[in-house]
Amino acid sequence: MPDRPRHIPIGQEGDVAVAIMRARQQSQEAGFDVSTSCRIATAVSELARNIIKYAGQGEIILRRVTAPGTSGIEIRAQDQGPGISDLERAMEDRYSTGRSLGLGLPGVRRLMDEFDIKTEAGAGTRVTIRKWL
Amino acid sequence: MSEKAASAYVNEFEGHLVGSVQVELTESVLDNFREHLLEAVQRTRPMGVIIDVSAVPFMDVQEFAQLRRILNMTALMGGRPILVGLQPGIVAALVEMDADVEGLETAISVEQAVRRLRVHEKEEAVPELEDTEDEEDMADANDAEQPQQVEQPEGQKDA
Repeated sequence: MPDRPRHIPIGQEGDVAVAIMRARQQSQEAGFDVSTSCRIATAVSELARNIIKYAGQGEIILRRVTAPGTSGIEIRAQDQGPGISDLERAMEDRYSTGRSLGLGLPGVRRLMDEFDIKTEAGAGTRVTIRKWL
Repeated sequence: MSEKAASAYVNEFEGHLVGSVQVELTESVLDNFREHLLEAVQRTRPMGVIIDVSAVPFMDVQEFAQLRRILNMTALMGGRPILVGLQPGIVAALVEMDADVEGLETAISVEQAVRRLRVHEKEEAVPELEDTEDEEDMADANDAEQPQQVEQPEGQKDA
């Protein structure tokens, strides 16, 4: 069954709630248990909040993915914001850019199986994460 | 909105407050809950403030932090906040995300929280520790109960 990716525009607080809801829903539909769906939704929430906080707007794209012998879910969070100037530090634990939560990226990586980030100063950030069943 | 009123409520039980949130924690649900809860703390002067979130299906780091601030507020007012019923998936995600959970008192169920508060109440009711045989035990007990022992008998003050 070909799954069409779901695009969720992110620009305000309410969009985060939508992204969270969709992420939980789609995770459970993909066969993840409640607990894992919670982890996936937490990661989505963090990425969505980062978009609002640092880029103002962007989008979250949810889609099912398959690999030999398994399937899973992929989330892409992208924006055309300022980008992350010091990615290495952003991926270090407890690095914070002023607010107490920091970017939460190390946590997002821990919650998922795959984590990929592309960022360029002035051009934006794209985070792609995957969880396999 | 009536839906919001039903989504979070506060009850009195054995001299404690039991606050319960039944839906996802949006900012407005939490604001609403905080208002009700703090008002109830002021009115009923509870010893324990038990917050039951067992019916909350999901909570992200920011919502948890906001809930945590509400618990801190009740503590500032003199209540003893106990968080109850966080679901396993939420807990796992919060810890992976390095959410601040330090110093937070929790219980597995409302019953357990109430039992703990009962025990505490009994201990508090003991008038004085007259035996000084075991100094180490005494020191421990004093340490543990220091915050509650500030009450000085100033008879007419409240009359």
